[in-house]
Amino acid sequence: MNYEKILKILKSLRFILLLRNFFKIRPVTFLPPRSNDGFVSDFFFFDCENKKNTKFVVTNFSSQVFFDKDIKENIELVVFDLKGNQILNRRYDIEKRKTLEIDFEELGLKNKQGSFFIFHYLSNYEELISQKAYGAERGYVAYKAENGIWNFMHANGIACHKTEKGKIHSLVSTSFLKNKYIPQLSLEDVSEFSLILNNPTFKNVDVEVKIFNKEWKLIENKIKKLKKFQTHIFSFNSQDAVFAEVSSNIIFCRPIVRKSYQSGFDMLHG
Amino acid sequence: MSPFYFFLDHSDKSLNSSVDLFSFPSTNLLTNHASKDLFIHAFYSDGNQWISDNLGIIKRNSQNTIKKKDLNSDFIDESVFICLSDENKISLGDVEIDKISSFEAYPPWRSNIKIIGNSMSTSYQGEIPNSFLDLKLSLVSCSPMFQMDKDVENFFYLVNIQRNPKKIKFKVKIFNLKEEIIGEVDCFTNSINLFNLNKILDRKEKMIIFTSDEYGGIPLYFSKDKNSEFLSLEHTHPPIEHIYMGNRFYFQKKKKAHWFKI
Repeated sequence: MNYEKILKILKSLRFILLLRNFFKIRPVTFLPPRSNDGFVSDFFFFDCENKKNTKFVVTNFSSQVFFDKDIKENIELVVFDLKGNQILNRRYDIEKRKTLEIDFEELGLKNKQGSFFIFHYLSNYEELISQKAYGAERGYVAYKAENGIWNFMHANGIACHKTEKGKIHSLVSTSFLKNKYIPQLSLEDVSEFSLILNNPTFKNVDVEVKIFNKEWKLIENKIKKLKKFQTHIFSFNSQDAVFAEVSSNIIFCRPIVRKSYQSGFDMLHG
Repeated sequence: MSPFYFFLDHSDKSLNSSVDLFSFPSTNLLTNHASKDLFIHAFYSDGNQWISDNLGIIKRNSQNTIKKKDLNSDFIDESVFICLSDENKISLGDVEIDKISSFEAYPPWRSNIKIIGNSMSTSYQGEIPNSFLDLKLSLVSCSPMFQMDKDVENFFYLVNIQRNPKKIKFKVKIFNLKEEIIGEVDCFTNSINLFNLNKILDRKEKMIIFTSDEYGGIPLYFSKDKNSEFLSLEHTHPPIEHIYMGNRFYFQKKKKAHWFKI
Protein backbone atom coordinates (compact mmCIF):
# COMPACT_ATOMS: atom_id res chain seq x y z
CA MET A 1 0.00 0.00 0.00
CA ASN A 2 1.51 3.33 -0.99
CA TYR A 3 1.82 6.44 1.18
CA GLU A 4 -1.08 8.27 -0.53
CA LYS A 5 -3.50 5.38 0.12
CA ILE A 6 -2.47 5.16 3.77
CA LEU A 7 -2.94 8.93 4.14
CA LYS A 8 -6.39 8.69 2.53
CA ILE A 9 -7.48 5.95 4.94
CA LEU A 10 -6.08 7.84 7.94
CA LYS A 11 -7.85 11.06 6.88
CA SER A 12 -11.19 9.25 6.69
CA LEU A 13 -10.99 7.65 10.14
CA ARG A 14 -13.86 8.89 12.29
CA PHE A 15 -11.56 10.11 15.04
CA ILE A 16 -9.43 12.05 12.54
CA LEU A 17 -12.57 13.53 10.91
CA LEU A 18 -13.81 14.73 14.30
CA LEU A 19 -10.39 16.20 15.08
CA ARG A 20 -10.27 17.97 11.69
CA ASN A 21 -13.72 19.38 12.32
CA PHE A 22 -12.98 20.41 15.88
CA PHE A 23 -10.13 22.64 14.74
CA LYS A 24 -11.62 23.39 11.30
CA ILE A 25 -8.62 21.93 9.46
CA ARG A 26 -10.01 20.85 6.09
CA PRO A 27 -13.34 20.10 7.79
CA VAL A 28 -16.00 17.78 6.41
CA THR A 29 -19.54 19.12 6.45
CA PHE A 30 -21.26 15.78 7.07
CA LEU A 31 -20.01 12.59 8.72
CA PRO A 32 -20.41 8.95 7.62
CA PRO A 33 -23.11 6.87 9.41
CA ARG A 34 -22.01 4.35 12.03
CA SER A 35 -23.63 1.29 10.44
CA ASN A 36 -23.82 0.14 6.85
CA ASP A 37 -27.63 -0.03 6.64
CA GLY A 38 -30.34 2.44 7.69
CA PHE A 39 -31.40 5.70 6.09
CA VAL A 40 -30.49 9.39 6.13
CA SER A 41 -32.86 12.33 6.54
CA ASP A 42 -32.73 16.10 6.50
CA PHE A 43 -34.16 17.90 9.58
CA PHE A 44 -37.14 19.57 7.90
CA PHE A 45 -38.98 22.58 9.31
CA PHE A 46 -42.76 22.59 9.77
CA ASP A 47 -45.06 25.47 10.64
CA CYS A 48 -48.74 25.16 11.54
CA GLU A 49 -48.95 28.36 13.57
CA ASN A 50 -51.54 31.10 12.87
CA LYS A 51 -53.50 29.09 10.32
CA LYS A 52 -50.38 28.17 8.37
CA ASN A 53 -49.95 24.56 7.31
CA THR A 54 -47.16 22.29 6.12
CA LYS A 55 -47.19 19.18 3.98
CA PHE A 56 -44.51 16.74 2.99
CA VAL A 57 -44.56 14.56 -0.08
CA VAL A 58 -42.82 11.22 0.45
CA THR A 59 -42.00 9.00 -2.49
CA ASN A 60 -41.36 5.29 -2.24
CA PHE A 61 -37.55 5.24 -2.34
CA SER A 62 -37.33 1.71 -3.75
CA SER A 63 -39.24 2.84 -6.84
CA GLN A 64 -36.45 5.33 -7.48
CA VAL A 65 -33.56 2.86 -7.47
CA PHE A 66 -34.60 -0.80 -7.24
CA PHE A 67 -36.71 -1.24 -10.34
CA ASP A 68 -36.06 -4.96 -10.59
CA LYS A 69 -36.44 -5.93 -6.91
CA ASP A 70 -39.47 -6.50 -4.73
CA ILE A 71 -38.50 -4.44 -1.70
CA LYS A 72 -40.99 -3.61 1.04
CA GLU A 73 -40.75 -0.17 2.51
CA ASN A 74 -42.14 1.82 5.41
CA ILE A 75 -41.28 5.23 6.77
CA GLU A 76 -40.98 6.71 10.24
CA LEU A 77 -41.96 10.33 10.81
CA VAL A 78 -40.37 11.80 13.95
CA VAL A 79 -41.55 15.29 14.89
CA PHE A 80 -40.03 17.70 17.42
CA ASP A 81 -41.44 20.98 18.72
CA LEU A 82 -39.46 24.25 18.82
CA LYS A 83 -37.91 23.25 22.17
CA GLY A 84 -36.62 19.98 20.77
CA ASN A 85 -39.16 17.74 22.52
CA GLN A 86 -40.39 14.79 20.48
CA ILE A 87 -44.13 15.31 20.00
CA LEU A 88 -45.02 12.69 17.43
CA ASN A 89 -43.73 9.41 16.04
CA ARG A 90 -45.71 7.69 13.32
CA ARG A 91 -45.11 4.83 10.91
CA TYR A 92 -46.54 4.57 7.41
CA ASP A 93 -46.34 1.79 4.84
CA ILE A 94 -45.52 3.11 1.42
CA GLU A 95 -46.15 0.98 -1.62
CA LYS A 96 -43.97 0.81 -4.69
CA ARG A 97 -44.72 3.55 -7.26
CA LYS A 98 -46.79 5.48 -4.72
CA THR A 99 -46.36 8.77 -2.94
CA LEU A 100 -47.63 9.72 0.47
CA GLU A 101 -48.75 13.22 1.33
CA ILE A 102 -48.40 14.06 5.03
CA ASP A 103 -50.56 17.01 6.11
CA PHE A 104 -49.22 18.34 9.40
CA GLU A 105 -52.43 20.01 10.51
CA GLU A 106 -54.23 16.67 10.11
CA LEU A 107 -51.64 15.11 12.43
CA GLY A 108 -53.01 17.27 15.25
CA LEU A 109 -50.13 19.74 15.04
CA LYS A 110 -52.28 22.84 14.63
CA ASN A 111 -50.55 25.92 16.09
CA LYS A 112 -47.28 24.02 16.47
CA GLN A 113 -43.90 24.64 14.87
CA GLY A 114 -40.70 22.63 14.88
CA SER A 115 -38.67 20.19 12.82
CA PHE A 116 -39.00 16.58 11.70
CA PHE A 117 -37.18 13.61 10.22
CA ILE A 118 -38.42 11.08 7.66
CA PHE A 119 -36.54 7.77 7.75
CA HIS A 120 -37.29 5.03 5.22
CA TYR A 121 -36.84 1.38 6.20
CA LEU A 122 -36.30 -1.17 3.46
CA SER A 123 -36.69 -4.94 3.59
CA ASN A 124 -33.37 -5.24 1.76
CA TYR A 125 -30.32 -2.94 1.82
CA GLU A 126 -28.00 -5.29 -0.09
CA GLU A 127 -27.55 -3.17 -3.18
CA LEU A 128 -27.00 0.04 -1.22
CA ILE A 129 -24.48 -1.71 1.04
CA SER A 130 -22.66 -3.17 -1.96
CA GLN A 131 -22.15 0.40 -3.21
CA LYS A 132 -21.30 1.72 0.31
CA ALA A 133 -24.22 4.11 -0.10
CA TYR A 134 -27.29 5.20 1.89
CA GLY A 135 -30.70 6.36 0.79
CA ALA A 136 -31.39 9.97 1.72
CA GLU A 137 -34.74 11.71 2.25
CA ARG A 138 -34.13 15.07 0.62
CA GLY A 139 -37.65 15.57 -0.58
CA TYR A 140 -40.16 18.27 -0.90
CA VAL A 141 -41.87 20.18 1.86
CA ALA A 142 -44.57 22.77 1.18
CA TYR A 143 -45.86 25.64 3.30
CA LYS A 144 -49.12 27.48 3.04
CA ALA A 145 -50.80 30.50 4.61
CA GLU A 146 -54.55 30.39 5.18
CA ASN A 147 -55.53 31.64 1.73
CA GLY A 148 -52.38 30.99 -0.27
CA ILE A 149 -51.13 28.22 -2.50
CA TRP A 150 -48.49 25.71 -1.40
CA ASN A 151 -44.97 27.14 -1.52
CA PHE A 152 -42.53 24.29 -2.18
CA MET A 153 -38.97 23.90 -0.94
CA HIS A 154 -36.62 20.96 -1.22
CA ALA A 155 -34.41 19.63 1.58
CA ASN A 156 -31.79 21.95 3.02
CA GLY A 157 -29.10 19.34 3.64
CA ILE A 158 -28.18 16.11 5.38
CA ALA A 159 -28.92 15.82 9.09
CA CYS A 160 -29.27 12.41 10.77
CA HIS A 161 -29.07 8.65 10.20
CA LYS A 162 -31.21 5.91 11.71
CA THR A 163 -31.62 2.16 11.38
CA GLU A 164 -35.06 0.64 11.91
CA LYS A 165 -34.36 -0.52 15.45
CA GLY A 166 -31.53 1.86 16.24
CA LYS A 167 -31.34 5.39 17.58
CA ILE A 168 -31.03 8.64 15.66
CA HIS A 169 -27.39 9.60 15.02
CA SER A 170 -26.34 13.03 13.85
CA LEU A 171 -24.21 13.34 10.72
CA VAL A 172 -23.77 17.09 11.09
CA SER A 173 -20.25 18.31 11.78
CA THR A 174 -19.56 20.76 14.56
CA SER A 175 -16.45 22.61 15.55
CA PHE A 176 -14.92 24.28 18.56
CA LEU A 177 -14.51 27.29 16.28
CA LYS A 178 -17.36 29.20 14.65
CA ASN A 179 -18.05 29.20 10.95
CA LYS A 180 -19.78 31.96 9.01
CA TYR A 181 -22.33 31.55 6.26
CA ILE A 182 -23.83 34.39 4.20
CA PRO A 183 -26.70 33.30 1.95
CA GLN A 184 -26.22 34.65 -1.57
CA LEU A 185 -29.56 36.42 -1.61
CA SER A 186 -30.61 39.99 -0.97
CA LEU A 187 -33.16 40.92 1.69
CA GLU A 188 -33.71 44.30 0.05
CA ASP A 189 -37.13 43.43 -1.42
CA VAL A 190 -38.80 42.76 1.96
CA SER A 191 -38.92 44.37 5.37
CA GLU A 192 -40.22 41.30 7.24
CA PHE A 193 -38.17 38.15 7.03
CA SER A 194 -37.00 35.20 9.14
CA LEU A 195 -34.00 32.93 9.16
CA ILE A 196 -34.99 29.52 10.47
CA LEU A 197 -32.31 27.33 12.01
CA ASN A 198 -32.48 24.00 13.78
CA ASN A 199 -29.96 21.85 15.59
CA PRO A 200 -29.80 18.25 14.34
CA THR A 201 -26.87 17.45 16.65
CA PHE A 202 -26.75 16.12 20.22
CA LYS A 203 -24.68 19.08 21.40
CA ASN A 204 -25.76 22.55 22.43
CA VAL A 205 -24.76 24.91 19.63
CA ASP A 206 -24.55 28.70 19.54
CA VAL A 207 -26.15 30.43 16.57
CA GLU A 208 -25.81 34.13 15.87
CA VAL A 209 -27.61 35.92 13.06
CA LYS A 210 -26.41 39.38 12.02
CA ILE A 211 -28.30 41.60 9.63
CA PHE A 212 -26.44 44.24 7.62
CA ASN A 213 -27.39 47.06 5.26
CA LYS A 214 -25.86 47.54 1.79
CA GLU A 215 -22.76 49.24 3.29
CA TRP A 216 -22.26 46.36 5.78
CA LYS A 217 -23.42 48.46 8.68
CA LEU A 218 -24.82 46.16 11.37
CA ILE A 219 -28.57 46.67 11.76
CA GLU A 220 -29.38 43.95 14.27
CA ASN A 221 -27.99 40.74 15.69
CA LYS A 222 -29.64 37.92 17.61
CA ILE A 223 -27.98 35.07 19.47
CA LYS A 224 -29.53 31.80 20.55
CA LYS A 225 -28.20 28.65 22.13
CA LEU A 226 -29.91 25.71 20.46
CA LYS A 227 -30.25 22.45 22.34
CA LYS A 228 -30.56 19.03 20.69
CA PHE A 229 -33.28 19.02 17.98
CA GLN A 230 -34.38 22.54 18.90
CA THR A 231 -35.57 24.99 16.22
CA HIS A 232 -35.46 28.77 16.35
CA ILE A 233 -37.06 31.33 14.08
CA PHE A 234 -34.90 34.46 13.96
CA SER A 235 -37.42 37.11 12.83
CA PHE A 236 -36.50 40.61 11.71
CA ASN A 237 -38.23 43.74 10.52
CA SER A 238 -36.02 46.20 8.67
CA GLN A 239 -36.37 48.38 5.59
CA ASP A 240 -32.59 48.53 5.04
CA ALA A 241 -31.57 44.89 5.42
CA VAL A 242 -29.55 43.42 2.54
CA PHE A 243 -27.18 40.80 3.96
CA ALA A 244 -27.66 38.13 6.62
CA GLU A 245 -24.73 36.35 8.25
CA VAL A 246 -25.11 33.14 10.24
CA SER A 247 -22.35 32.19 12.62
CA SER A 248 -22.37 28.84 14.43
CA ASN A 249 -20.47 25.86 15.82
CA ILE A 250 -22.30 23.83 13.19
CA ILE A 251 -19.77 23.83 10.39
CA PHE A 252 -22.26 24.13 7.56
CA CYS A 253 -25.09 26.11 9.10
CA ARG A 254 -27.36 27.03 6.22
CA PRO A 255 -30.64 28.71 7.15
CA ILE A 256 -34.10 28.36 5.72
CA VAL A 257 -35.24 31.84 4.70
CA ARG A 258 -38.82 33.07 4.90
CA LYS A 259 -39.56 36.34 3.12
CA SER A 260 -42.91 37.95 3.87
CA TYR A 261 -44.49 39.84 1.00
CA GLN A 262 -47.74 41.76 0.73
CA SER A 263 -49.86 38.75 -0.28
CA GLY A 264 -47.90 35.77 1.00
CA PHE A 265 -44.55 34.33 2.06
CA ASP A 266 -41.79 32.61 0.15
CA MET A 267 -39.72 29.82 1.71
CA LEU A 268 -36.32 28.93 0.35
CA HIS A 269 -33.11 27.41 1.59
CA GLY A 270 -30.34 29.95 1.91
CA MET B 1 -15.77 32.85 -14.52
CA SER B 2 -18.70 32.16 -12.20
CA PRO B 3 -21.39 29.57 -12.83
CA PHE B 4 -24.24 30.72 -15.07
CA TYR B 5 -27.42 32.31 -13.80
CA PHE B 6 -30.55 33.09 -15.79
CA PHE B 7 -33.81 34.98 -15.94
CA LEU B 8 -37.04 33.01 -15.63
CA ASP B 9 -39.17 34.65 -18.32
CA HIS B 10 -42.88 33.96 -18.23
CA SER B 11 -45.72 34.20 -20.73
CA ASP B 12 -47.69 36.22 -18.13
CA LYS B 13 -46.20 39.64 -18.81
CA SER B 14 -47.25 40.94 -15.40
CA LEU B 15 -44.45 38.75 -13.99
CA ASN B 16 -40.86 39.93 -13.90
CA SER B 17 -37.59 38.15 -13.23
CA SER B 18 -34.35 39.06 -11.51
CA VAL B 19 -31.05 37.62 -10.28
CA ASP B 20 -29.18 38.60 -7.09
CA LEU B 21 -25.43 38.52 -7.79
CA PHE B 22 -22.66 38.40 -5.20
CA SER B 23 -18.95 39.21 -5.47
CA PHE B 24 -18.14 36.86 -2.59
CA PRO B 25 -18.98 33.22 -1.74
CA SER B 26 -21.45 32.14 0.94
CA THR B 27 -18.65 30.68 3.04
CA ASN B 28 -14.91 30.20 2.90
CA LEU B 29 -15.22 26.90 4.68
CA LEU B 30 -13.42 24.70 2.19
CA THR B 31 -12.22 27.13 -0.42
CA ASN B 32 -10.62 30.49 0.18
CA HIS B 33 -11.82 33.34 -1.99
CA ALA B 34 -10.74 36.92 -1.66
CA SER B 35 -13.63 39.08 -2.76
CA LYS B 36 -12.81 41.43 -5.63
CA ASP B 37 -14.46 43.62 -8.25
CA LEU B 38 -16.04 41.50 -10.96
CA PHE B 39 -17.56 42.17 -14.35
CA ILE B 40 -21.19 41.18 -14.96
CA HIS B 41 -21.83 39.66 -18.37
CA ALA B 42 -25.18 38.98 -19.99
CA PHE B 43 -25.50 36.85 -23.08
CA TYR B 44 -27.96 35.05 -25.29
CA SER B 45 -27.82 32.88 -28.38
CA ASP B 46 -29.36 34.14 -31.63
CA GLY B 47 -29.15 30.56 -32.96
CA ASN B 48 -25.83 31.14 -34.70
CA GLN B 49 -23.65 32.97 -32.20
CA TRP B 50 -23.52 34.18 -28.61
CA ILE B 51 -24.41 37.86 -28.24
CA SER B 52 -22.97 39.37 -25.08
CA ASP B 53 -23.14 42.59 -23.15
CA ASN B 54 -20.97 43.83 -20.32
CA LEU B 55 -23.36 45.10 -17.64
CA GLY B 56 -20.66 46.77 -15.56
CA ILE B 57 -18.92 45.97 -12.34
CA ILE B 58 -20.04 44.43 -9.09
CA LYS B 59 -17.78 45.85 -6.38
CA ARG B 60 -15.92 43.62 -3.93
CA ASN B 61 -17.94 42.55 -0.88
CA SER B 62 -21.15 43.68 -2.48
CA GLN B 63 -24.32 42.52 -4.13
CA ASN B 64 -26.22 43.63 -7.26
CA THR B 65 -29.73 42.75 -8.30
CA ILE B 66 -30.30 42.71 -12.05
CA LYS B 67 -33.84 42.77 -13.39
CA LYS B 68 -34.58 41.39 -16.82
CA LYS B 69 -36.66 44.43 -17.76
CA ASP B 70 -33.62 46.69 -17.20
CA LEU B 71 -31.47 44.95 -19.83
CA ASN B 72 -30.81 46.42 -23.28
CA SER B 73 -33.89 46.24 -25.49
CA ASP B 74 -32.40 43.54 -27.78
CA PHE B 75 -32.04 41.23 -24.73
CA ILE B 76 -35.59 41.59 -23.44
CA ASP B 77 -37.25 38.87 -25.55
CA GLU B 78 -34.30 36.47 -25.44
CA SER B 79 -33.27 33.65 -23.08
CA VAL B 80 -30.59 35.55 -21.19
CA PHE B 81 -27.80 34.02 -19.10
CA ILE B 82 -25.57 35.91 -16.70
CA CYS B 83 -22.09 35.26 -15.35
CA LEU B 84 -19.42 37.07 -13.34
CA SER B 85 -15.80 37.26 -14.41
CA ASP B 86 -12.43 38.90 -13.69
CA GLU B 87 -12.29 39.75 -17.38
CA ASN B 88 -14.20 42.57 -19.02
CA LYS B 89 -14.93 40.54 -22.15
CA ILE B 90 -16.11 36.95 -22.46
CA SER B 91 -16.51 34.86 -25.55
CA LEU B 92 -18.58 31.89 -24.47
CA GLY B 93 -17.52 29.78 -27.44
CA ASP B 94 -13.84 30.07 -26.51
CA VAL B 95 -13.85 30.22 -22.74
CA GLU B 96 -11.39 27.76 -21.25
CA ILE B 97 -12.73 25.53 -18.52
CA ASP B 98 -9.70 26.22 -16.30
CA LYS B 99 -10.86 29.84 -16.11
CA ILE B 100 -13.67 28.66 -13.86
CA SER B 101 -11.41 27.41 -11.09
CA SER B 102 -11.32 30.76 -9.30
CA PHE B 103 -15.05 30.41 -8.61
CA GLU B 104 -15.08 26.83 -7.44
CA ALA B 105 -16.64 26.89 -4.03
CA TYR B 106 -18.45 24.62 -1.62
CA PRO B 107 -21.34 25.10 -1.62
CA PRO B 108 -21.49 26.40 -5.20
CA TRP B 109 -21.38 30.15 -5.95
CA ARG B 110 -25.09 30.83 -6.24
CA SER B 111 -27.51 33.52 -7.24
CA ASN B 112 -31.01 34.12 -6.02
CA ILE B 113 -33.12 33.51 -9.12
CA LYS B 114 -36.48 35.14 -8.73
CA ILE B 115 -39.90 35.54 -10.31
CA ILE B 116 -41.56 38.78 -9.24
CA GLY B 117 -45.37 38.84 -9.09
CA ASN B 118 -47.92 41.53 -8.40
CA SER B 119 -47.70 41.33 -4.63
CA MET B 120 -45.10 38.65 -3.87
CA SER B 121 -41.98 37.09 -5.31
CA THR B 122 -40.69 33.54 -5.30
CA SER B 123 -37.13 32.42 -5.74
CA TYR B 124 -34.54 29.71 -5.31
CA GLN B 125 -30.78 29.60 -4.87
CA GLY B 126 -29.47 28.40 -8.19
CA GLU B 127 -26.64 28.14 -10.64
CA ILE B 128 -25.69 26.21 -13.76
CA PRO B 129 -22.21 24.71 -13.39
CA ASN B 130 -19.80 25.78 -16.16
CA SER B 131 -19.09 22.14 -16.87
CA PHE B 132 -22.60 21.92 -18.40
CA LEU B 133 -21.23 23.85 -21.40
CA ASP B 134 -19.44 20.79 -22.72
CA LEU B 135 -21.17 17.85 -21.04
CA LYS B 136 -23.57 15.47 -22.73
CA LEU B 137 -26.46 15.84 -20.31
CA SER B 138 -29.73 13.99 -19.94
CA LEU B 139 -32.77 14.50 -17.75
CA VAL B 140 -34.77 12.51 -15.18
CA SER B 141 -36.73 14.86 -12.95
CA CYS B 142 -39.42 13.48 -10.61
CA SER B 143 -41.66 16.22 -9.28
CA PRO B 144 -44.60 16.31 -6.87
CA MET B 145 -44.52 20.12 -7.02
CA PHE B 146 -47.79 20.88 -8.72
CA GLN B 147 -51.18 21.80 -7.33
CA MET B 148 -54.56 20.75 -8.62
CA ASP B 149 -56.55 23.36 -6.69
CA LYS B 150 -58.94 25.45 -8.73
CA ASP B 151 -57.35 28.56 -10.24
CA VAL B 152 -53.76 27.36 -9.76
CA GLU B 153 -51.57 27.18 -12.85
CA ASN B 154 -48.53 24.89 -12.89
CA PHE B 155 -45.50 25.39 -15.11
CA PHE B 156 -42.37 23.45 -16.00
CA TYR B 157 -39.12 25.27 -16.86
CA LEU B 158 -36.17 23.51 -18.41
CA VAL B 159 -33.11 25.74 -18.58
CA ASN B 160 -30.42 24.56 -20.97
CA ILE B 161 -27.10 26.10 -21.96
CA GLN B 162 -24.44 24.63 -24.26
CA ARG B 163 -21.21 26.01 -25.65
CA ASN B 164 -22.51 25.48 -29.19
CA PRO B 165 -24.80 28.51 -29.82
CA LYS B 166 -27.18 26.58 -32.09
CA LYS B 167 -30.72 26.17 -30.77
CA ILE B 168 -31.30 22.47 -31.19
CA LYS B 169 -34.77 21.01 -30.68
CA PHE B 170 -35.11 18.00 -28.37
CA LYS B 171 -37.97 16.05 -26.84
CA VAL B 172 -38.85 15.77 -23.18
CA LYS B 173 -41.21 12.91 -22.31
CA ILE B 174 -43.59 13.15 -19.37
CA PHE B 175 -44.59 10.05 -17.38
CA ASN B 176 -46.74 9.26 -14.38
CA LEU B 177 -45.59 6.95 -11.58
CA LYS B 178 -47.18 3.98 -13.34
CA GLU B 179 -44.62 4.64 -16.08
CA GLU B 180 -47.35 5.60 -18.55
CA ILE B 181 -46.48 8.41 -20.92
CA ILE B 182 -48.82 11.35 -20.33
CA GLY B 183 -47.24 13.99 -22.52
CA GLU B 184 -44.31 15.17 -24.57
CA VAL B 185 -42.88 18.66 -25.12
CA ASP B 186 -40.30 20.12 -27.50
CA CYS B 187 -37.45 22.01 -25.85
CA PHE B 188 -34.50 23.90 -27.31
CA THR B 189 -30.89 24.10 -26.21
CA ASN B 190 -29.61 27.50 -25.01
CA SER B 191 -33.11 28.44 -23.95
CA ILE B 192 -35.34 29.05 -20.97
CA ASN B 193 -38.05 26.54 -21.98
CA LEU B 194 -41.44 27.07 -20.35
CA PHE B 195 -44.60 24.90 -20.46
CA ASN B 196 -48.00 25.15 -18.84
CA LEU B 197 -48.64 21.74 -17.27
CA ASN B 198 -52.34 22.16 -16.55
CA LYS B 199 -53.32 20.75 -19.94
CA ILE B 200 -51.60 17.44 -19.25
CA LEU B 201 -51.99 17.15 -15.49
CA ASP B 202 -54.53 14.71 -14.21
CA ARG B 203 -56.08 15.16 -10.77
CA LYS B 204 -54.99 11.61 -9.90
CA GLU B 205 -51.29 12.18 -10.54
CA LYS B 206 -49.22 12.75 -7.41
CA MET B 207 -45.89 12.81 -9.16
CA ILE B 208 -44.77 13.32 -12.72
CA ILE B 209 -41.47 12.39 -14.29
CA PHE B 210 -39.76 14.41 -17.02
CA THR B 211 -37.13 12.57 -19.05
CA SER B 212 -34.86 13.23 -21.98
CA ASP B 213 -31.93 11.14 -23.16
CA GLU B 214 -30.97 13.83 -25.68
CA TYR B 215 -30.25 16.87 -23.51
CA GLY B 216 -30.68 17.98 -19.92
CA GLY B 217 -30.67 21.18 -17.94
CA ILE B 218 -32.13 22.64 -14.78
CA PRO B 219 -35.78 21.52 -14.25
CA LEU B 220 -37.87 24.03 -12.29
CA TYR B 221 -41.48 23.90 -11.17
CA PHE B 222 -43.47 27.10 -10.84
CA SER B 223 -47.06 27.49 -9.63
CA LYS B 224 -49.21 30.60 -9.34
CA ASP B 225 -52.79 31.57 -8.74
CA LYS B 226 -54.65 33.26 -11.57
CA ASN B 227 -53.95 36.78 -10.20
CA SER B 228 -50.25 36.04 -9.65
CA GLU B 229 -50.65 36.97 -5.99
CA PHE B 230 -49.36 33.63 -4.67
CA LEU B 231 -46.30 32.00 -6.21
CA SER B 232 -44.12 28.93 -5.69
CA LEU B 233 -40.80 28.01 -7.33
CA GLU B 234 -38.39 25.14 -6.71
CA HIS B 235 -36.17 22.78 -8.66
CA THR B 236 -35.91 19.03 -8.31
CA HIS B 237 -32.70 17.41 -7.16
CA PRO B 238 -30.84 15.30 -9.70
CA PRO B 239 -31.25 11.58 -8.85
CA ILE B 240 -27.79 11.48 -7.28
CA GLU B 241 -28.94 13.72 -4.42
CA HIS B 242 -31.20 10.99 -3.02
CA ILE B 243 -28.13 8.88 -2.28
CA TYR B 244 -25.65 9.70 0.48
CA MET B 245 -21.99 8.68 0.16
CA GLY B 246 -20.69 5.63 -1.74
CA ASN B 247 -21.08 5.06 -5.44
CA ARG B 248 -23.85 7.58 -6.03
CA PHE B 249 -23.39 7.59 -9.79
CA TYR B 250 -24.16 3.86 -9.91
CA PHE B 251 -27.73 4.61 -8.76
CA GLN B 252 -28.11 7.70 -10.95
CA LYS B 253 -27.01 5.70 -13.99
CA LYS B 254 -29.40 2.89 -13.10
CA LYS B 255 -32.34 5.25 -12.66
CA LYS B 256 -31.69 7.03 -15.93
CA ALA B 257 -31.24 3.74 -17.81
CA HIS B 258 -34.59 2.57 -16.46
CA TRP B 259 -36.53 5.64 -17.56
CA PHE B 260 -34.82 5.95 -20.93
CA LYS B 261 -35.74 2.42 -22.00
CA ILE B 262 -39.49 2.99 -21.49
